[in-house]
Amino acid sequence: MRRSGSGLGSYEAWGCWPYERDDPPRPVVDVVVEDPLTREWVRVKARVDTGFSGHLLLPWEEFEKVSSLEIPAEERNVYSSVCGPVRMRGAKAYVEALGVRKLCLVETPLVGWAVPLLGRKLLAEARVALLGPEGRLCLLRSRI
Amino acid sequence: MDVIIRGVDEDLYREFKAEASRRGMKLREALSEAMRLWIRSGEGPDDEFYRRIKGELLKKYRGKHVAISRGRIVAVADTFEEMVEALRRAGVKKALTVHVGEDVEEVREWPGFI
Repeated sequence: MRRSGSGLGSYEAWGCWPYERDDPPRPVVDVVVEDPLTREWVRVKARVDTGFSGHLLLPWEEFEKVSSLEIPAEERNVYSSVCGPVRMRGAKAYVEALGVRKLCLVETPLVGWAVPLLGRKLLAEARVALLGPEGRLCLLRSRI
Repeated sequence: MDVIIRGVDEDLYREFKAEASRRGMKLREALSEAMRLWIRSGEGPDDEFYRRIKGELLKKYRGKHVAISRGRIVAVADTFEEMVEALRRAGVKKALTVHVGEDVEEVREWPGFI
């Protein structure tokens, strides 16, 4: 692997979020979720989860506020987890995170509890760097 | 709180009570859990309606954005934004919405869930 002096190669950081204190610290980002119909919105701090293949997971309390446009029960996703299949409720909402705003499927598990998680479907939209030693997650942009 | 409910299906109640016992739960705990799950499931008459007309939707509206509310189709549009506008004009506050043929159940990965 080729290394550059800055560690970011031809990219530079243009927006960063400090890691949340924990042992070890965890990368989190601010996320705004807006209900397309009612325009009600919530702001959450979501953990970055490369293991979660969806867009955004919300706790029930937040999901309830922005879920006026749910998908039918028949089309809800099922996630395979170490505890077996987890069925979700899903609603369409605008999500603003990592400098991107897009229509997403936000989800909450039918049973159990959840914390806000930003999944790979959103991570795939943005250039981000996890700067562990600095304790920051940063958005990158090209220097060129 | 205490409640008295009349007219409960006897066989169903017996089965429920036996299942609660098998799980080592008191009846009130099992009933509270069942009520919580039922509320969280969010399944209602519109889901039933969707199941009934899904085949028809796929034939007539594949690729369109469709909204269902109170047991009927309340909007059909080419784009999601147009569908939302139509719902606003109709004064609909909550609806099931589907991008016909695109929004389908998927099995996805979430290894971290415990």
